[in-house]
Amino acid sequence: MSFVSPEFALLCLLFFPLYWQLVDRPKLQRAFLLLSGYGLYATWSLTFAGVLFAYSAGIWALGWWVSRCDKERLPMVLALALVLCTSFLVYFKYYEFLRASLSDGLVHLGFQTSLPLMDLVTPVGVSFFTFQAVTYLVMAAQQSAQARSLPEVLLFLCFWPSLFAGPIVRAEKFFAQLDAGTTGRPLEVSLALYWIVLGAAQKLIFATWLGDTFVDPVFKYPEQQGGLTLLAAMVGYSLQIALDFGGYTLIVTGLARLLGYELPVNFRQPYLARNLQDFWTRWHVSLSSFIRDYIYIPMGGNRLGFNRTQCNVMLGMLISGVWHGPNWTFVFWGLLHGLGVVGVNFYRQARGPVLPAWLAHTLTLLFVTVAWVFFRADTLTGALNLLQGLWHNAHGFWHADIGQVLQLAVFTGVFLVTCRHAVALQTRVVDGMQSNSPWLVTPVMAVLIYLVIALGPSGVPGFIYYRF
Amino acid sequence: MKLAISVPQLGWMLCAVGLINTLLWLDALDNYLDARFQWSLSSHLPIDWFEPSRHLAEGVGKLASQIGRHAKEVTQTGQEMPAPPVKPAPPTMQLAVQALPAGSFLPSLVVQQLTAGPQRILFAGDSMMQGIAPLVIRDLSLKHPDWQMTDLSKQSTGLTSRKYFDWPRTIEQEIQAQNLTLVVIFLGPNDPRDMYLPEKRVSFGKPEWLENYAARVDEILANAVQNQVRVIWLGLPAMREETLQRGAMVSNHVFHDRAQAFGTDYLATEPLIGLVSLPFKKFMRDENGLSINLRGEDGTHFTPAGLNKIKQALVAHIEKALPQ
Repeated sequence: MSFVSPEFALLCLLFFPLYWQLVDRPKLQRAFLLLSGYGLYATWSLTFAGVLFAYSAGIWALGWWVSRCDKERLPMVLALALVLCTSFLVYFKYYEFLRASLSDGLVHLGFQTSLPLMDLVTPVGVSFFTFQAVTYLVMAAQQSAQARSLPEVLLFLCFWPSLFAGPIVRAEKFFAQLDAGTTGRPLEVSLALYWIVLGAAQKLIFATWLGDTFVDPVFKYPEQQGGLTLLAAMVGYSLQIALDFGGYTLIVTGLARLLGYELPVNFRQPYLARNLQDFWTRWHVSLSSFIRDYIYIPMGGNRLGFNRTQCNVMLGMLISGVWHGPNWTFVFWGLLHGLGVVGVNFYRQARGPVLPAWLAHTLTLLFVTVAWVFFRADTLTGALNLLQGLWHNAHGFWHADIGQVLQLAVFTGVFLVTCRHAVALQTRVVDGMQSNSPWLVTPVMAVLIYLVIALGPSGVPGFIYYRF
Repeated sequence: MKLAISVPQLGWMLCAVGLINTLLWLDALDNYLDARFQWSLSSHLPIDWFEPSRHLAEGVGKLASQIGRHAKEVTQTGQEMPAPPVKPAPPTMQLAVQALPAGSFLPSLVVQQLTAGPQRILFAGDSMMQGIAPLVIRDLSLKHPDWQMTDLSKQSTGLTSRKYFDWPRTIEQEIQAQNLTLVVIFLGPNDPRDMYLPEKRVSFGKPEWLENYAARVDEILANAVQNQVRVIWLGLPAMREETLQRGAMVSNHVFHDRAQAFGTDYLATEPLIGLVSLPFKKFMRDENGLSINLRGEDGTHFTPAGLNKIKQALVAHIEKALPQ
């Protein structure tokens, strides 16, 4: 059940008032929240709701084991627990990719493989809850007194706002909120409602419009398009993915606040970044900070010299790419970003001149936009063909619907200006909501939601990050 | 930031916003629930309740299309739109669908020849066609740069729910508008569900369902035949989910039977991807003896390897139908 589907909206109308009624009975309220998480997950697959339960119980047992082992054995026990925890992800998400790639590689060398064929279906959200499980095991190892009860671990791994497409919640942050007793009561209601409506508008109106108008038809038939149309599709996709994933994150962060929980920040206006390192502190922050804290730093980070640092950066970015899915396009996308960050590091090491802000911003946007082509394309060849079509094109560069291209140019400008003023705009709207009576806010919200539905597509569009 | 709205107020606010939008979108909600869950609000609520939302949606749709946004598809409420009259009387069909013996399938029908000269081809269907059409169009464009090809495939569509998307009407309009020479159709997994007809609901698989489903196929074929447009209807391969597998069996029976009756083509995908009469399998051995994965994780759609097999068969089928 999608968070932008009518059935979800209608169920929320029943769920939230009931949930808030239980605010003075926290155990019951959490049980209700847990049940709703499994119920929601079961709408995707009943079998996988069972698998998620078993996995969560396994993580709880591993956490218990890790938290009780002595200091000498701890590194080995934690490593084993982490291998078990992540092998679930590897098995479900990457087995077929590894089997097919290995098989192809060996056939080219004249060998045959007999790796067993598995008819596997990847559980939705597996990449997100597996990484959350990693944070739990590491937390259990760091704070031996902090191993949590089974119901708490079940709730952490089936907390529905972040279950399907993040943000990746850190165990210590989640349990700190439970311990503080602040959960269960809506937090900053006006802000939560603003985020939900804004996120729905970003996804349903703008991301869908960009996808339908500029991106999907071109990525489907790139050879039929002129260079300018291809360029518009690339820019369109950069905006679409930001509005799609950013909109999704706003919706779930708002929903979590209505439940009384804070989710980590996932976006900080990424397209205002002035270099790639800056970009990665703004884009999908919960993933990039996870990779920094759980992979890059344990590998040595920047403590082992310049060259080793660059190797660690490359590996971290490669893992970030592979995390998105078993496809060479994601591997290449990750490597490309790794090379970009390493390039920036070399430039700094060589003490290259500091670029003007506008140039640094433009170069960063350009790099990110080109890299998104590999993220969006089905195959590496498809991505390269599209990029090649920018200059080698039978239709010429200017063969395009100029009116549409102008629309996109105006939209891009408005988008970038809005990004600059997003925080001020948010403060103003939220203050306005708080200083007015709910009896005025209600009809305004009703009209806004009506408009979002009216300007959105027919049917329920899928979120890009539901695939991961 | 302070909590300016209390919890009870928030509860009432959400209910009010929900109720207002439910009423304002009642007609669209009915269409959605029908398409998604085969559940019709309009058969339980007075029809008058749907009028305001329909008129409002029509107005907003017009306004939205004027300012270049996607207009909502507004259709009649509560009842299926009346089908346009079919000119040639469709032949009657055998309505008993028997499962074929394990290992057998309904074979392809290759009867049509395309006219000489550049072709104007329409690709119609659901998400399965969305996967196939770009590959076929790319291949044919390279060989025949003067051909005109249109891909109108749309996910979640089929023949069961005309309220959500009306393929017979769309294809008829495209035949007239584009003076088509060939229509290629690939759909079906969204169809094994109950059908809402004026004043009644017909359960999937019942003889009456089959009769009405066949009538919709007939409507497309009759219109095409009358306008001398060739049709290639792709059959469905095996499906993982039980209902879809049964649906594939029923749909293939109808597609094959009607194609035979109208003298149009049927292209069986079963031997390429997996027989409906056998249990679902994701993998198939290629000519080198290697196991290749042909199916997506959902057991309905195809991997690039699966799409490629269907593309090759369809392109070969079209090339064979060209005058020598």
